[in-house]
Amino acid sequence: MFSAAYFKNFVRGSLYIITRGSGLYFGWLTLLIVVFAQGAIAYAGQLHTGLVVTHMRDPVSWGLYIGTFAFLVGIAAAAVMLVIPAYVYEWKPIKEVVIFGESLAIAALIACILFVTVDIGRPERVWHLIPLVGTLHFPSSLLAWDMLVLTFYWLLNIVVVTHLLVRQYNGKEYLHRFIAPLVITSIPAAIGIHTVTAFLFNGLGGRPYWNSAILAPRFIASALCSGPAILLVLFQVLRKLTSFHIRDAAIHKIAELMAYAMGVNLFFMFAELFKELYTNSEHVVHLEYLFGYGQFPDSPIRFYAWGSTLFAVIEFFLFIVPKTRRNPITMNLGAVLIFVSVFFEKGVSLVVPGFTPDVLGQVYKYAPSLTEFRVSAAVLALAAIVYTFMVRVELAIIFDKFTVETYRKA
Amino acid sequence: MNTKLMLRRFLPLSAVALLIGVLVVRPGIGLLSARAAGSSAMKDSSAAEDSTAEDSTASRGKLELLRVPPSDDYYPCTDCHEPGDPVNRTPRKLTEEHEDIVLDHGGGRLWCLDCHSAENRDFLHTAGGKPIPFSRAHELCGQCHFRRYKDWQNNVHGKRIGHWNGDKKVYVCFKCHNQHSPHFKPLTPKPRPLRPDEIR
Amino acid sequence: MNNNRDHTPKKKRNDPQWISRRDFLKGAAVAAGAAAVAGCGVNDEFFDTYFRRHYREMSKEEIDRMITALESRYEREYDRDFTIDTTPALQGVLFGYALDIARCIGCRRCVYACVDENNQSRDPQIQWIQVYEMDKGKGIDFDHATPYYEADKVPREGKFYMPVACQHCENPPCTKVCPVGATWKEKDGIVVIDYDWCIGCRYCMAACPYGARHFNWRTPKVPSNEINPHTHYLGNRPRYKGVVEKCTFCVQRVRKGRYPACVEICPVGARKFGNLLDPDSEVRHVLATKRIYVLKKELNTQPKFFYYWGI
Repeated sequence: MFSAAYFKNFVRGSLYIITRGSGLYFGWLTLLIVVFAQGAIAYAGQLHTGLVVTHMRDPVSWGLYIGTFAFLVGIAAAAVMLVIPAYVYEWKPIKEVVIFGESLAIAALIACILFVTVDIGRPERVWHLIPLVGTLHFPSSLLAWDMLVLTFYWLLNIVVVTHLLVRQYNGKEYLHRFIAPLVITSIPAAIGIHTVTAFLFNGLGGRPYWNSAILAPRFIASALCSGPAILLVLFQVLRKLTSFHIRDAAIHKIAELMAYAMGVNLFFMFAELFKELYTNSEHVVHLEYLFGYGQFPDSPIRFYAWGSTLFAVIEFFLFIVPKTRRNPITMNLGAVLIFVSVFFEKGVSLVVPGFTPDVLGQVYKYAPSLTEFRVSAAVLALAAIVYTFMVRVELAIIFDKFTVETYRKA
Repeated sequence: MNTKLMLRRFLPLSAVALLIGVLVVRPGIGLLSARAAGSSAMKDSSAAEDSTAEDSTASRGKLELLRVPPSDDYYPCTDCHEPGDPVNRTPRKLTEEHEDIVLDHGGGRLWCLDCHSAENRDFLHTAGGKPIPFSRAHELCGQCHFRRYKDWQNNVHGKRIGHWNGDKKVYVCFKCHNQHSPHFKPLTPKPRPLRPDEIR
Repeated sequence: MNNNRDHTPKKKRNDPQWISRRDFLKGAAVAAGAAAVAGCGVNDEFFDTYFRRHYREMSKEEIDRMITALESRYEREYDRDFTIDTTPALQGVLFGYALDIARCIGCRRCVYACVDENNQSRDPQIQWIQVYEMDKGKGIDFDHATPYYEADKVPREGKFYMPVACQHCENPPCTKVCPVGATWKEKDGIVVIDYDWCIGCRYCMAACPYGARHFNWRTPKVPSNEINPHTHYLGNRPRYKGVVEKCTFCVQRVRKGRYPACVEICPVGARKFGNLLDPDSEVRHVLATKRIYVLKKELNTQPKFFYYWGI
């Protein structure tokens, strides 16, 4: 099942692949490295001075970092959700679809862990979170759960992807009896990581905006309708630029499933809005801050909230109507819209109104600082670098039939 | 299904899962029970406290009254008001002497001799005529303000400094409430806190 | 299948003197690591304060070593003699607090007494107590309250005041969520933080329904001439950038039997403190005879901080 020699071959082969490529490839990598470098410098400044260089303060103690973390956990979860339809609809190229989704999950989870790391005040004490070595407060703390399930899911995906690639590279078939149970496990694991992340916010009685039973289902629904968007665009790009092939029908099926997920998501959103607006308790003040009415007509986040909702509705109609779903322009527009919509929803609309007004009614209008943008960009760039490498290796091995033999001849 | 193959594949995996469960969950629960029971270091030092536990936790101790006149002849009223002097018992505003004392107590229902003894000005007196020395003037306050007085005696009214489980010092009434004009004078507040966006 | 896993030629493998490439690299890495650790000025103090176990699992000797290291660090930094107390909870004690909001005039002297006693950062400003001004007509309504009131004299007409700090809940939501167990409730009911264990994730701040926890967004600055060198490990010792802090019921004082600083400074005697397990204590008398109010009671946090009306 695991051979050191195969693995060594694979490493050599992968290094060979990722160090060669077109001008476009190296241009893309250079851009990512530059973005990463500027963010690393910004993070060094943050380490030196303290988190005061962000715009987080006592009333709004979590901001862009944790919001993006929640969003990326959704991406990691959703990418693997493609596995279900792959099995249900019995697509031929199952492993091809699965592998891109799982490597996206790996890259997204790297970004997740990094976002948590850049957010905490004493990063040198991260080892306190390691079970046995530190004192992980499991099972009481949902953050402890999150650390464990995210690591488990991450390792699960690494094992699956590595196995598939190493075996294929060395000219062997993957061991179905080994991979299938792991891939099946990754489905509830994917739901699990995003549920745990939702519970992180959900269990806090002092934050009524989050303390709603429907929060975890909303997380799953919005993850399911947005995660595959990256893959949707990626598949089309790869189909144009490389030897990757995927039928139009498969891409349209992904879009159709996203539409259904969005329908559920919109329903959940409607249910949440009904409960708050009809009851009209004092807690409605958080919605006033979110959408910019009532006490907060000039709320700084109202554009994100309205934009998110509008894009979601537009995307729903674009994807549910077969004609616009199949048209490549409207379909890709929909994919971009849904990605932006859910990024605003999880990154901004989730975190900020939970803290505004704060527990004792005070309002601090948070907007991320330049440092936060720079550091976030760096983390995303690093994840993108990792994903780029993985995609190139996968393309070569699975679609270009790059094997150890091909490497030895080169 | 080849059971032998299954065992070879999944036994190590399940062993790892079991190990993680035992190693992760047990210390986590262990930490929780440590929280409940207290660590050994803490147990040892608190055991040493046992012998004095009763004394150290009760709220007894001496109550020292502060700002009591140091002696009963601290205010020498009888230097001017000799016992036996004729007394004008008409409630009025004083103009010849003590005009600096502003009486704003009782909304106009009280005047000087309602508290100060007419017979012996070195004493105050209750409504029933019982003399009260200045050192126990708080008993006079308590005559009307009996609820406050009971609270004050139980350490619930007024400022205390000292020990919650031992000796306390307390001010007598007129340290905070001027006896002639007892309404609490407003204070100037200390500076407001900085707003979050003022924190740089 | 490749049988020859080790690529070293057979005759060399059998020679006891021969060091394989693998072994050489391993040895070099260890040596480099040791040199790096030794070279970068890492000393005993670092090991006693960084490489340690959780406070509640440390032995007395480990704690003493750590305290010594911390005391010398503080002495170097502030040029004063520091004492870091580690007095544990007294037996048979559960601390409670009562605050008379019929008497509080919003003068904020408690805020600044607390700042002085507990070495809170002056810049950036941290204040463990926040005093909220409310309308008498609206009652206790935080949606229409403000801690930023300014006035020539207090109390202002038609207003009343409500100071808020850590409620030292019996069922604290903050200690539930800490991922590393850096904050916990002691046996005497005080919710404490170990500033050398906190990783600064601020989950406890999200969980606290009373806004009682404060984060060190920068390195806290306390002037040396204003620092209070009589500290407790879990209380008022100077904190660091990137950790959370909050009211500790003046643990350095109360475990020695004294009142917290805020109780002693209040000019109107609105603050009461004592042992909830002692039926003769002031706090128990308040609970028995006054009308009590507890913040956000529906959250079942069971605060040990009781507001009451003394009039």
